Amino acid sequence: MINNNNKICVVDDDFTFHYIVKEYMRVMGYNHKLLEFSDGEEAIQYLRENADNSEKLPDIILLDINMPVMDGWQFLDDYKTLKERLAQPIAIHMVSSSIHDADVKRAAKIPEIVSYVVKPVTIEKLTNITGYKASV
Amino acid sequence: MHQLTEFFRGILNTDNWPARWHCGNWSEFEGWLYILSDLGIWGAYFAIPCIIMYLTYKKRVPFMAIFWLFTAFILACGLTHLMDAVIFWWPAYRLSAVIRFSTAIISWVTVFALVRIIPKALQMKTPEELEVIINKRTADLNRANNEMKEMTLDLMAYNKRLEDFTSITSHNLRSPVSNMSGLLALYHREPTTEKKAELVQKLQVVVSHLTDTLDDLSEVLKVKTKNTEPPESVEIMPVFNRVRESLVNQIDECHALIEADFDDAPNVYINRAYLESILMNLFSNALRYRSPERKPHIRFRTYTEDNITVLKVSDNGLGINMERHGAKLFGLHKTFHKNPDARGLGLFLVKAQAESAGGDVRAESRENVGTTFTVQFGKTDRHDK
Repeated sequence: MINNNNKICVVDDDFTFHYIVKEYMRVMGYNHKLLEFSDGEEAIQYLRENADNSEKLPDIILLDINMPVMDGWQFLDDYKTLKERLAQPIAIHMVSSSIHDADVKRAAKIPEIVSYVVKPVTIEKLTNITGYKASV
Repeated sequence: MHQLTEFFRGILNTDNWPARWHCGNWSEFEGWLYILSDLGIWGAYFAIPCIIMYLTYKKRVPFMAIFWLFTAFILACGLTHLMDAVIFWWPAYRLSAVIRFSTAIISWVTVFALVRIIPKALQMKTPEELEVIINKRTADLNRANNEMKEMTLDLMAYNKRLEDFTSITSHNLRSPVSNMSGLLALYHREPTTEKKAELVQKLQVVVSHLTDTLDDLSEVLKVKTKNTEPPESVEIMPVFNRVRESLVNQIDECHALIEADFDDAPNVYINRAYLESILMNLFSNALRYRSPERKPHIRFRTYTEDNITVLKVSDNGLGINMERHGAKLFGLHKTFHKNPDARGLGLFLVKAQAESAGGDVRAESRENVGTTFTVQFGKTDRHDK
Protein backbone atom coordinates (compact mmCIF):
# COMPACT_ATOMS: atom_id res chain seq x y z
CA MET A 1 0.00 0.00 0.00
CA ILE A 2 2.92 2.31 0.53
CA ASN A 3 3.52 4.51 -2.46
CA ASN A 4 4.35 8.12 -3.05
CA ASN A 5 0.84 9.14 -3.85
CA ASN A 6 -0.89 8.40 -0.53
CA LYS A 7 -3.37 10.94 0.73
CA ILE A 8 -3.03 11.56 4.44
CA CYS A 9 -5.53 12.57 7.07
CA VAL A 10 -4.86 13.86 10.60
CA VAL A 11 -7.49 13.45 13.33
CA ASP A 12 -6.19 15.26 16.41
CA ASP A 13 -7.37 18.10 18.62
CA ASP A 14 -3.85 19.48 18.86
CA PHE A 15 -3.33 22.02 16.07
CA THR A 16 0.38 22.23 16.73
CA PHE A 17 0.50 18.54 15.86
CA HIS A 18 -1.36 19.27 12.60
CA TYR A 19 1.19 21.97 11.84
CA ILE A 20 4.15 19.70 12.55
CA VAL A 21 2.78 16.90 10.36
CA LYS A 22 2.03 19.38 7.59
CA GLU A 23 5.52 20.84 7.72
CA TYR A 24 7.18 17.42 7.82
CA MET A 25 5.08 16.19 4.91
CA ARG A 26 5.98 19.31 2.93
CA VAL A 27 9.66 18.58 3.53
CA MET A 28 8.97 15.02 2.37
CA GLY A 29 7.50 16.22 -0.89
CA TYR A 30 3.86 15.56 -0.09
CA ASN A 31 1.82 17.51 -2.60
CA HIS A 32 -1.79 16.75 -1.65
CA LYS A 33 -3.89 18.76 0.68
CA LEU A 34 -3.58 17.35 4.21
CA LEU A 35 -7.05 16.36 5.47
CA GLU A 36 -7.39 17.83 8.94
CA PHE A 37 -10.00 17.14 11.62
CA SER A 38 -9.91 18.16 15.25
CA ASP A 39 -12.06 15.34 16.59
CA GLY A 40 -13.39 11.92 15.68
CA GLU A 41 -16.87 13.11 14.84
CA GLU A 42 -15.73 15.60 12.20
CA ALA A 43 -13.62 12.89 10.63
CA ILE A 44 -16.30 10.18 10.64
CA GLN A 45 -18.80 12.63 9.19
CA TYR A 46 -16.41 13.43 6.33
CA LEU A 47 -15.81 9.74 5.65
CA ARG A 48 -19.53 9.03 5.71
CA GLU A 49 -20.26 11.83 3.26
CA ASN A 50 -17.51 10.76 0.89
CA ALA A 51 -17.73 7.01 1.39
CA ASP A 52 -18.11 6.21 -2.33
CA ASN A 53 -15.73 8.86 -3.60
CA SER A 54 -12.23 7.43 -3.54
CA GLU A 55 -10.88 10.72 -4.89
CA LYS A 56 -11.79 12.37 -1.64
CA LEU A 57 -11.02 9.52 0.76
CA PRO A 58 -7.61 9.43 2.48
CA ASP A 59 -5.31 6.41 2.21
CA ILE A 60 -3.87 6.85 5.67
CA ILE A 61 -5.35 8.25 8.88
CA LEU A 62 -3.23 9.42 11.79
CA LEU A 63 -5.65 9.05 14.68
CA ASP A 64 -5.21 10.56 18.15
CA ILE A 65 -6.81 8.94 21.20
CA ASN A 66 -7.79 11.79 23.53
CA MET A 67 -10.06 14.25 21.76
CA PRO A 68 -13.18 16.12 22.75
CA VAL A 69 -16.62 15.25 21.39
CA MET A 70 -15.56 11.87 19.96
CA ASP A 71 -12.28 10.27 20.94
CA GLY A 72 -10.15 7.85 18.94
CA TRP A 73 -11.81 4.71 20.32
CA GLN A 74 -15.29 6.00 19.63
CA PHE A 75 -14.17 6.96 16.12
CA LEU A 76 -12.99 3.37 15.57
CA ASP A 77 -16.35 2.00 16.78
CA ASP A 78 -18.15 4.07 14.18
CA TYR A 79 -15.50 3.39 11.55
CA LYS A 80 -16.07 -0.38 11.85
CA THR A 81 -19.68 0.00 10.78
CA LEU A 82 -18.72 2.32 7.95
CA LYS A 83 -15.71 0.38 6.64
CA GLU A 84 -17.65 -1.90 4.27
CA ARG A 85 -19.16 1.04 2.43
CA LEU A 86 -15.88 2.83 1.76
CA ALA A 87 -14.73 3.01 -1.87
CA GLN A 88 -11.16 2.22 -0.85
CA PRO A 89 -9.34 0.76 2.13
CA ILE A 90 -7.82 3.13 4.66
CA ALA A 91 -4.83 2.38 6.85
CA ILE A 92 -5.40 3.77 10.34
CA HIS A 93 -2.38 4.48 12.53
CA MET A 94 -2.93 5.42 16.12
CA VAL A 95 -0.65 8.34 16.94
CA SER A 96 -0.81 9.23 20.61
CA SER A 97 1.34 10.59 23.38
CA SER A 98 -0.03 7.89 25.64
CA ILE A 99 2.53 5.28 26.63
CA HIS A 100 -0.12 3.64 28.79
CA ASP A 101 0.02 -0.12 28.54
CA ALA A 102 -3.77 -0.23 28.55
CA ASP A 103 -3.95 1.96 25.45
CA VAL A 104 -1.26 0.02 23.58
CA LYS A 105 -2.92 -3.32 24.37
CA ARG A 106 -6.35 -2.03 23.48
CA ALA A 107 -5.06 -0.78 20.14
CA ALA A 108 -3.39 -4.12 19.43
CA LYS A 109 -6.76 -5.85 19.73
CA ILE A 110 -8.38 -3.69 17.06
CA PRO A 111 -7.73 -5.12 13.59
CA GLU A 112 -8.47 -1.78 11.93
CA ILE A 113 -5.37 -0.28 13.52
CA VAL A 114 -2.23 -0.87 11.43
CA SER A 115 0.24 0.47 13.98
CA TYR A 116 0.51 2.33 17.25
CA VAL A 117 2.93 5.24 17.06
CA VAL A 118 4.01 7.13 20.15
CA LYS A 119 4.44 10.90 19.80
CA PRO A 120 6.59 12.79 19.04
CA VAL A 121 6.43 11.93 15.35
CA THR A 122 9.72 12.15 13.51
CA ILE A 123 10.52 12.08 9.82
CA GLU A 124 11.54 8.41 10.18
CA LYS A 125 8.23 7.48 11.78
CA LEU A 126 6.28 9.36 9.12
CA THR A 127 8.32 7.65 6.38
CA ASN A 128 7.43 4.26 7.86
CA ILE A 129 3.77 5.14 7.97
CA THR A 130 3.31 7.04 4.72
CA GLY A 131 6.06 5.87 2.39
CA TYR A 132 7.19 9.41 1.67
CA LYS A 133 10.88 10.08 2.14
CA ALA A 134 12.65 13.28 3.08
CA SER A 135 14.74 14.57 0.21
CA VAL A 136 17.58 15.85 2.40
CA MET B 1 -7.72 -65.09 100.99
CA HIS B 2 -9.40 -68.40 101.48
CA GLN B 3 -12.69 -66.64 102.20
CA LEU B 4 -12.34 -64.59 99.02
CA THR B 5 -11.81 -67.56 96.68
CA GLU B 6 -14.58 -69.48 98.43
CA PHE B 7 -16.84 -66.44 97.96
CA PHE B 8 -16.29 -66.16 94.26
CA ARG B 9 -16.42 -69.86 93.65
CA GLY B 10 -19.93 -69.91 95.13
CA ILE B 11 -21.00 -66.58 93.78
CA LEU B 12 -24.47 -67.84 92.88
CA ASN B 13 -24.81 -69.87 96.07
CA THR B 14 -28.18 -69.39 97.75
CA ASP B 15 -27.93 -72.04 100.47
CA ASN B 16 -27.22 -69.74 103.38
CA TRP B 17 -30.22 -67.44 102.99
CA PRO B 18 -33.93 -67.79 102.51
CA ALA B 19 -35.70 -66.05 99.63
CA ARG B 20 -36.89 -62.66 100.84
CA TRP B 21 -40.54 -63.62 100.72
CA HIS B 22 -39.76 -66.07 103.49
CA CYS B 23 -37.65 -63.76 105.56
CA GLY B 24 -39.93 -62.01 107.98
CA ASN B 25 -43.70 -61.59 107.50
CA TRP B 26 -44.37 -59.94 104.19
CA SER B 27 -47.99 -59.23 103.36
CA GLU B 28 -48.81 -59.51 99.62
CA PHE B 29 -49.17 -55.77 99.44
CA GLU B 30 -45.88 -54.96 101.23
CA GLY B 31 -43.97 -57.49 99.12
CA TRP B 32 -45.32 -56.39 95.77
CA LEU B 33 -44.98 -52.70 96.59
CA TYR B 34 -41.31 -53.34 97.30
CA ILE B 35 -40.81 -55.50 94.20
CA LEU B 36 -42.68 -53.31 91.74
CA SER B 37 -40.99 -50.16 93.06
CA ASP B 38 -37.56 -51.75 92.60
CA LEU B 39 -38.50 -52.92 89.09
CA GLY B 40 -39.82 -49.44 88.30
CA ILE B 41 -36.58 -47.83 89.48
CA TRP B 42 -34.56 -50.33 87.49
CA GLY B 43 -36.62 -49.63 84.33
CA ALA B 44 -36.15 -45.91 84.68
CA TYR B 45 -32.41 -46.34 85.45
CA PHE B 46 -32.10 -48.35 82.28
CA ALA B 47 -33.96 -45.82 80.19
CA ILE B 48 -31.96 -42.78 81.38
CA PRO B 49 -28.54 -44.03 80.14
CA CYS B 50 -30.13 -44.97 76.83
CA ILE B 51 -31.34 -41.42 76.44
CA ILE B 52 -27.99 -39.98 77.51
CA MET B 53 -26.16 -42.18 75.02
CA TYR B 54 -28.57 -41.27 72.29
CA LEU B 55 -28.08 -37.56 72.99
CA THR B 56 -24.31 -37.75 73.09
CA TYR B 57 -24.40 -39.76 69.89
CA LYS B 58 -26.58 -37.16 68.15
CA LYS B 59 -24.87 -34.10 69.51
CA ARG B 60 -21.30 -33.58 70.46
CA VAL B 61 -21.17 -32.55 74.11
CA PRO B 62 -18.26 -31.48 76.28
CA PHE B 63 -16.88 -33.90 78.93
CA MET B 64 -17.77 -37.05 76.99
CA ALA B 65 -16.00 -39.25 79.60
CA ILE B 66 -18.29 -37.99 82.35
CA PHE B 67 -21.31 -39.00 80.34
CA TRP B 68 -19.95 -42.51 79.95
CA LEU B 69 -19.40 -42.64 83.74
CA PHE B 70 -22.94 -41.39 84.34
CA THR B 71 -24.24 -44.09 82.07
CA ALA B 72 -22.32 -46.80 83.87
CA PHE B 73 -23.25 -45.37 87.29
CA ILE B 74 -26.96 -45.26 86.54
CA LEU B 75 -26.98 -48.69 84.93
CA ALA B 76 -25.21 -50.10 88.00
CA CYS B 77 -27.67 -48.42 90.38
CA GLY B 78 -30.48 -49.89 88.30
CA LEU B 79 -28.97 -53.36 88.58
CA THR B 80 -28.90 -53.15 92.40
CA HIS B 81 -32.64 -52.48 92.39
CA LEU B 82 -33.31 -55.30 89.94
CA MET B 83 -31.31 -57.58 92.19
CA ASP B 84 -33.32 -56.44 95.22
CA ALA B 85 -36.50 -57.48 93.46
CA VAL B 86 -35.11 -60.81 92.30
CA ILE B 87 -33.95 -61.69 95.82
CA PHE B 88 -37.59 -62.14 96.81
CA TRP B 89 -37.41 -65.48 94.98
CA TRP B 90 -33.69 -66.07 94.41
CA PRO B 91 -31.52 -65.11 97.41
CA ALA B 92 -28.18 -64.69 95.55
CA TYR B 93 -26.88 -62.30 98.18
CA ARG B 94 -23.29 -62.82 97.11
CA LEU B 95 -24.02 -61.70 93.57
CA SER B 96 -26.02 -58.79 94.99
CA ALA B 97 -23.04 -57.78 97.14
CA VAL B 98 -20.73 -57.86 94.11
CA ILE B 99 -23.17 -55.69 92.12
CA ARG B 100 -23.40 -53.21 95.00
CA PHE B 101 -19.62 -53.16 95.40
CA SER B 102 -19.18 -52.41 91.69
CA THR B 103 -21.83 -49.70 91.94
CA ALA B 104 -19.98 -48.13 94.86
CA ILE B 105 -16.70 -48.11 92.89
CA ILE B 106 -18.30 -46.64 89.78
CA SER B 107 -20.12 -44.05 91.90
CA TRP B 108 -16.94 -42.87 93.56
CA VAL B 109 -15.03 -42.78 90.30
CA THR B 110 -17.83 -40.57 88.99
CA VAL B 111 -17.59 -38.38 92.07
CA PHE B 112 -13.83 -37.88 91.54
CA ALA B 113 -14.25 -37.27 87.85
CA LEU B 114 -16.94 -34.67 88.61
CA VAL B 115 -14.77 -32.92 91.16
CA ARG B 116 -11.95 -32.79 88.66
CA ILE B 117 -14.01 -31.10 85.96
CA ILE B 118 -15.60 -28.54 88.30
CA PRO B 119 -13.23 -25.69 87.37
CA LYS B 120 -13.60 -26.42 83.66
CA ALA B 121 -17.37 -26.76 83.91
CA LEU B 122 -17.62 -23.44 85.72
CA GLN B 123 -15.84 -21.81 82.79
CA MET B 124 -18.36 -23.11 80.32
CA LYS B 125 -20.75 -20.50 78.99
CA THR B 126 -24.49 -20.66 79.08
CA PRO B 127 -26.18 -20.19 75.72
CA GLU B 128 -27.08 -16.62 76.74
CA GLU B 129 -23.49 -15.85 77.63
CA LEU B 130 -22.37 -17.42 74.38
CA GLU B 131 -24.82 -15.32 72.47
CA VAL B 132 -23.44 -12.17 74.06
CA ILE B 133 -19.92 -13.24 73.11
CA ILE B 134 -20.96 -14.15 69.58
CA ASN B 135 -22.76 -10.85 69.16
CA LYS B 136 -19.71 -8.97 70.33
CA ARG B 137 -17.42 -10.92 68.01
CA THR B 138 -19.82 -10.44 65.12
CA ALA B 139 -19.85 -6.72 65.81
CA ASP B 140 -16.05 -6.70 65.96
CA LEU B 141 -15.85 -8.61 62.69
CA ASN B 142 -18.34 -6.31 61.05
CA ARG B 143 -16.40 -3.31 62.22
CA ALA B 144 -13.14 -4.77 60.92
CA ASN B 145 -14.88 -5.68 57.69
CA ASN B 146 -16.22 -2.17 57.28
CA GLU B 147 -12.82 -0.73 58.02
CA MET B 148 -11.35 -3.01 55.38
CA LYS B 149 -14.00 -1.95 52.91
CA GLU B 150 -13.27 1.69 53.62
CA MET B 151 -9.58 1.05 53.27
CA THR B 152 -10.14 -0.77 50.01
CA LEU B 153 -12.19 2.13 48.71
CA ASP B 154 -9.50 4.55 49.85
CA LEU B 155 -6.86 2.45 48.16
CA MET B 156 -8.90 2.18 45.00
CA ALA B 157 -9.39 5.93 45.00
CA TYR B 158 -5.70 6.38 45.60
CA ASN B 159 -4.89 4.00 42.79
CA LYS B 160 -7.28 5.83 40.52
CA ARG B 161 -5.53 9.08 41.39
CA LEU B 162 -2.20 7.51 40.54
CA GLU B 163 -3.61 6.30 37.24
CA ASP B 164 -5.00 9.74 36.61
CA PHE B 165 -1.58 11.15 37.19
CA THR B 166 0.04 8.68 34.85
CA SER B 167 -2.40 9.64 32.16
CA ILE B 168 -1.95 13.32 32.99
CA THR B 169 1.79 13.07 32.61
CA SER B 170 1.35 10.82 29.61
CA HIS B 171 -1.06 12.99 27.71
CA ASN B 172 -0.91 16.45 29.10
CA LEU B 173 2.80 16.74 29.58
CA ARG B 174 4.10 14.41 26.91
CA SER B 175 2.14 15.96 24.07
CA PRO B 176 3.36 19.54 24.50
CA VAL B 177 6.89 18.28 25.01
CA SER B 178 6.72 16.13 21.89
CA ASN B 179 5.35 19.13 20.03
CA MET B 180 8.32 21.16 21.20
CA SER B 181 10.77 18.56 19.99
CA GLY B 182 8.93 18.37 16.64
CA LEU B 183 8.99 22.12 16.22
CA LEU B 184 12.65 22.28 17.20
CA ALA B 185 13.55 19.58 14.66
CA LEU B 186 11.78 21.61 11.98
CA TYR B 187 13.52 24.75 13.19
CA HIS B 188 16.90 23.18 12.62
CA ARG B 189 16.02 21.98 9.12
CA GLU B 190 14.52 25.28 8.06
CA PRO B 191 16.84 27.62 6.15
CA THR B 192 14.64 30.72 5.88
CA THR B 193 14.34 33.30 8.65
CA GLU B 194 10.59 33.83 8.11
CA LYS B 195 9.90 30.17 8.63
CA LYS B 196 12.15 30.12 11.67
CA ALA B 197 10.21 33.04 13.14
CA GLU B 198 6.93 31.21 12.51
CA LEU B 199 8.26 28.13 14.26
CA VAL B 200 9.40 30.16 17.26
CA GLN B 201 5.92 31.59 17.52
CA LYS B 202 4.44 28.10 17.47
CA LEU B 203 6.89 27.13 20.19
CA GLN B 204 5.68 30.09 22.20
CA VAL B 205 2.09 28.77 22.03
CA VAL B 206 3.14 25.30 23.11
CA VAL B 207 5.16 26.66 26.02
CA SER B 208 2.22 28.71 27.26
CA HIS B 209 -0.03 25.60 27.00
CA LEU B 210 2.53 23.69 28.99
CA THR B 211 2.55 26.43 31.63
CA ASP B 212 -1.25 26.26 31.85
CA THR B 213 -1.11 22.51 32.24
CA LEU B 214 1.43 22.80 35.04
CA ASP B 215 -0.81 25.36 36.77
CA ASP B 216 -3.76 22.99 36.43
CA LEU B 217 -1.71 20.15 37.83
CA SER B 218 -0.64 22.10 40.89
CA GLU B 219 -4.26 23.10 41.50
CA VAL B 220 -5.34 19.46 41.23
CA LEU B 221 -2.51 18.38 43.51
CA LYS B 222 -3.61 20.91 46.09
CA VAL B 223 -7.04 19.28 46.30
CA LYS B 224 -5.80 15.72 46.01
CA THR B 225 -3.16 15.91 48.70
CA LYS B 226 -5.62 17.44 51.15
CA ASN B 227 -3.08 19.81 52.69
CA THR B 228 -5.77 22.47 52.93
CA GLU B 229 -8.30 23.56 55.51
CA PRO B 230 -10.39 20.74 56.99
CA PRO B 231 -14.07 20.57 56.03
CA GLU B 232 -16.51 22.54 58.18
CA SER B 233 -20.17 23.50 58.21
CA VAL B 234 -20.51 26.40 55.77
CA GLU B 235 -23.56 28.55 55.12
CA ILE B 236 -24.13 28.29 51.41
CA MET B 237 -26.07 31.49 50.64
CA PRO B 238 -23.27 34.06 51.22
CA VAL B 239 -20.85 31.93 49.19
CA PHE B 240 -23.39 31.58 46.41
CA ASN B 241 -24.00 35.33 46.37
CA ARG B 242 -20.28 35.99 46.04
CA VAL B 243 -20.02 33.60 43.08
CA ARG B 244 -23.10 35.10 41.45
CA GLU B 245 -21.58 38.56 41.92
CA SER B 246 -18.41 37.57 40.09
CA LEU B 247 -20.41 36.10 37.17
CA VAL B 248 -22.77 39.04 36.90
CA ASN B 249 -21.50 40.09 33.46
CA GLN B 250 -22.05 36.67 31.89
CA ILE B 251 -25.47 36.41 33.55
CA ASP B 252 -26.60 39.80 32.27
CA GLU B 253 -25.20 39.16 28.84
CA CYS B 254 -27.48 36.17 28.24
CA HIS B 255 -30.36 37.35 30.45
CA ALA B 256 -30.17 34.14 32.42
CA LEU B 257 -32.87 33.42 34.97
CA ILE B 258 -31.24 32.30 38.22
CA GLU B 259 -33.12 30.61 41.06
CA ALA B 260 -31.56 29.67 44.38
CA ASP B 261 -33.33 27.91 47.24
CA PHE B 262 -31.20 26.82 50.17
CA ASP B 263 -33.93 26.90 52.81
CA ASP B 264 -34.16 23.13 53.25
CA ALA B 265 -30.46 22.80 53.99
CA PRO B 266 -28.76 26.16 54.52
CA ASN B 267 -25.43 24.65 55.57
CA VAL B 268 -23.14 22.17 53.86
CA TYR B 269 -20.16 20.31 55.23
CA ILE B 270 -17.08 21.06 53.16
CA ASN B 271 -13.94 23.17 52.94
CA ARG B 272 -15.15 26.76 52.33
CA ALA B 273 -12.85 27.41 49.36
CA TYR B 274 -13.99 24.17 47.72
CA LEU B 275 -17.63 25.13 48.06
CA GLU B 276 -16.91 28.37 46.26
CA SER B 277 -14.97 26.53 43.57
CA ILE B 278 -17.75 23.95 43.12
CA LEU B 279 -20.43 26.62 42.81
CA MET B 280 -18.24 28.65 40.46
CA ASN B 281 -17.52 25.70 38.19
CA LEU B 282 -21.10 24.44 37.99
CA PHE B 283 -22.51 27.95 37.62
CA SER B 284 -20.09 29.04 34.90
CA ASN B 285 -20.51 25.70 33.08
CA ALA B 286 -24.27 26.16 33.07
CA LEU B 287 -23.81 29.63 31.60
CA ARG B 288 -21.15 28.63 29.11
CA TYR B 289 -23.05 25.62 27.74
CA ARG B 290 -26.38 27.35 27.45
CA SER B 291 -28.60 26.62 24.49
CA PRO B 292 -28.78 29.39 21.89
CA GLU B 293 -32.44 28.48 21.42
CA ARG B 294 -33.60 29.11 24.99
CA LYS B 295 -33.28 31.74 27.63
CA PRO B 296 -30.97 30.15 30.20
CA HIS B 297 -32.71 29.02 33.36
CA ILE B 298 -30.41 27.81 36.13
CA ARG B 299 -31.69 26.48 39.45
CA PHE B 300 -29.75 25.87 42.65
CA ARG B 301 -31.33 23.91 45.46
CA THR B 302 -30.13 22.14 48.59
CA TYR B 303 -31.88 19.50 50.65
CA THR B 304 -31.08 16.73 53.10
CA GLU B 305 -31.34 13.06 52.26
CA ASP B 306 -30.29 10.27 54.64
CA ASN B 307 -28.34 12.74 56.78
CA ILE B 308 -26.45 13.98 53.73
CA THR B 309 -26.73 17.47 52.32
CA VAL B 310 -27.30 17.51 48.58
CA LEU B 311 -26.89 20.38 46.14
CA LYS B 312 -28.72 20.17 42.83
CA VAL B 313 -27.78 22.47 39.97
CA SER B 314 -30.11 22.19 36.97
CA ASP B 315 -29.95 24.03 33.67
CA ASN B 316 -31.83 23.98 30.38
CA GLY B 317 -28.66 24.17 28.31
CA LEU B 318 -27.04 22.10 25.56
CA GLY B 319 -26.85 18.95 27.64
CA ILE B 320 -24.34 16.16 27.28
CA ASN B 321 -24.67 12.82 25.55
CA MET B 322 -24.31 10.69 28.69
CA GLU B 323 -24.15 7.42 26.78
CA ARG B 324 -21.07 8.64 24.97
CA HIS B 325 -19.41 10.81 27.56
CA GLY B 326 -20.89 9.75 30.90
CA ALA B 327 -17.88 7.64 31.81
CA LYS B 328 -15.32 10.37 31.31
CA LEU B 329 -17.39 13.38 32.30
CA PHE B 330 -15.38 14.01 35.46
CA GLY B 331 -12.01 13.04 33.97
CA LEU B 332 -9.16 15.49 33.74
CA HIS B 333 -8.76 17.33 30.43
CA LYS B 334 -11.87 15.76 28.95
CA THR B 335 -13.98 18.19 26.98
CA PHE B 336 -17.22 17.47 25.24
CA HIS B 337 -18.19 20.54 23.30
CA LYS B 338 -16.29 22.42 20.65
CA ASN B 339 -15.23 25.14 22.98
CA PRO B 340 -11.66 26.39 22.64
CA ASP B 341 -11.67 27.74 26.22
CA ALA B 342 -12.68 24.45 27.77
CA ARG B 343 -9.73 22.86 29.54
CA GLY B 344 -11.49 19.91 31.07
CA LEU B 345 -10.50 20.93 34.58
CA GLY B 346 -13.69 22.25 36.20
CA LEU B 347 -15.68 19.05 36.67
CA PHE B 348 -12.55 17.13 37.57
CA LEU B 349 -11.96 19.61 40.38
CA VAL B 350 -15.62 19.58 41.45
CA LYS B 351 -15.42 15.82 41.89
CA ALA B 352 -12.10 15.92 43.73
CA GLN B 353 -13.34 18.69 46.02
CA ALA B 354 -16.63 16.96 46.84
CA GLU B 355 -14.71 13.74 47.51
CA SER B 356 -12.28 15.49 49.83
CA ALA B 357 -15.11 15.92 52.38
CA GLY B 358 -16.42 12.39 51.86
CA GLY B 359 -18.97 13.41 49.22
CA ASP B 360 -19.53 12.74 45.56
CA VAL B 361 -20.99 14.25 42.42
CA ARG B 362 -23.28 12.82 39.72
CA ALA B 363 -24.70 14.16 36.52
CA GLU B 364 -27.89 13.53 34.59
CA SER B 365 -28.31 15.06 31.22
CA ARG B 366 -30.25 14.98 28.00
CA GLU B 367 -28.97 16.58 24.86
CA ASN B 368 -30.81 19.79 24.04
CA VAL B 369 -32.86 19.54 27.22
CA GLY B 370 -30.43 20.33 30.00
CA THR B 371 -28.17 18.98 32.68
CA THR B 372 -28.54 18.40 36.41
CA PHE B 373 -25.52 18.05 38.62
CA THR B 374 -26.09 16.48 42.04
CA VAL B 375 -23.37 17.18 44.57
CA GLN B 376 -23.43 15.17 47.78
CA PHE B 377 -21.51 16.76 50.61
CA GLY B 378 -19.94 14.93 53.53
CA LYS B 379 -22.01 13.70 56.44
CA THR B 380 -21.88 16.33 59.15
CA ASP B 381 -21.12 13.78 61.85
CA ARG B 382 -18.45 11.96 59.93
CA HIS B 383 -15.45 13.70 61.41
CA ASP B 384 -16.99 14.88 64.66
CA LYS B 385 -16.26 11.67 66.53
